[in-house]
Amino acid sequence: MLFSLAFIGIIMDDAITLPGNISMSFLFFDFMIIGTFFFILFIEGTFYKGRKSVYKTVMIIYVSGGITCGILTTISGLIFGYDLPIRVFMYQIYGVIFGILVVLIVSWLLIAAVEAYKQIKEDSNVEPWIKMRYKITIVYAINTIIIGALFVINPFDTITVIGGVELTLLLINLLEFIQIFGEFIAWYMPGRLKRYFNRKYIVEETEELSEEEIIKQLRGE
Amino acid sequence: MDIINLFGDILAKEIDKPGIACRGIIRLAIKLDFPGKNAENLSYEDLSHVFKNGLKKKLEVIGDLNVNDISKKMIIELTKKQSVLTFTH
Repeated sequence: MLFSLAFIGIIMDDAITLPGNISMSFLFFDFMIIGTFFFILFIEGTFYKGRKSVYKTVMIIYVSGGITCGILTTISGLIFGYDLPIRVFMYQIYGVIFGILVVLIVSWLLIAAVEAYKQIKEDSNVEPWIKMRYKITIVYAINTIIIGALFVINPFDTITVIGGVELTLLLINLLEFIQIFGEFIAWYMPGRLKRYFNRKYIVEETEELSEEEIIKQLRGE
Repeated sequence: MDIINLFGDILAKEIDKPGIACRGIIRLAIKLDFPGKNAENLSYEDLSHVFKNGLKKKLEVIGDLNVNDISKKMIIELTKKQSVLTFTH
């Protein structure tokens, strides 16, 4: 239901913006907002099964943000048509809302990853590559919070354009690349890299006891 | 990711018994609830089921243990460490 609500906002937005001059930019945000939905599901499903979390609050904020973007762009489109300065202004508001959502949601991931890492960092049964995964997650979470902050501070600026290059946009793209790379390495780590992180890890071969022996040992016989 | 060693050692600390026996009882409990399934392929839900069901049954045989309490504590530990089960095989 929440997803449907978010989608209503997105569809409303598309209906009014697609014929516009900067429709592709809005489309970019739409994909980002859909991606963010799955990002929230990932955090909940990976770290918070069976325990209290801020999942519902985050979802409500996310859906509210999506719907707000949809309503704002729809109303502005209906009132002002496809007047470019107004569209650019709405685009910037869209960016600010999206940036705030990113900062909030990824801060949640950061907290989850730090808490999870504390749980396993001293445990010798957890392989080093898995511990490394949390460190990478923490790094790319901080990186992504910076991306969100950039959207808020300087949404698709017209200020820092040098030689035809929008510096904020360039920086966001570079940080996005780091984020995607970090996510891939952390959660789909290639076997070669796993072996590298595990190179000093020695698995102790333990004998398997029979059921009788196990019961005897547990009874202290 | 060796789930049996991880949760076997947690159980050993919990009930103050030898690690090798606790790892063994976890292995038996998994076999009881999920015969033929590799321990590495168990999900959070599967392991939660093992701690609620198979492990309790196996520990009841030992006697002199509060199996309900142990089961609850194992599920709490599983919940805290659940993310280690994601994409680890």
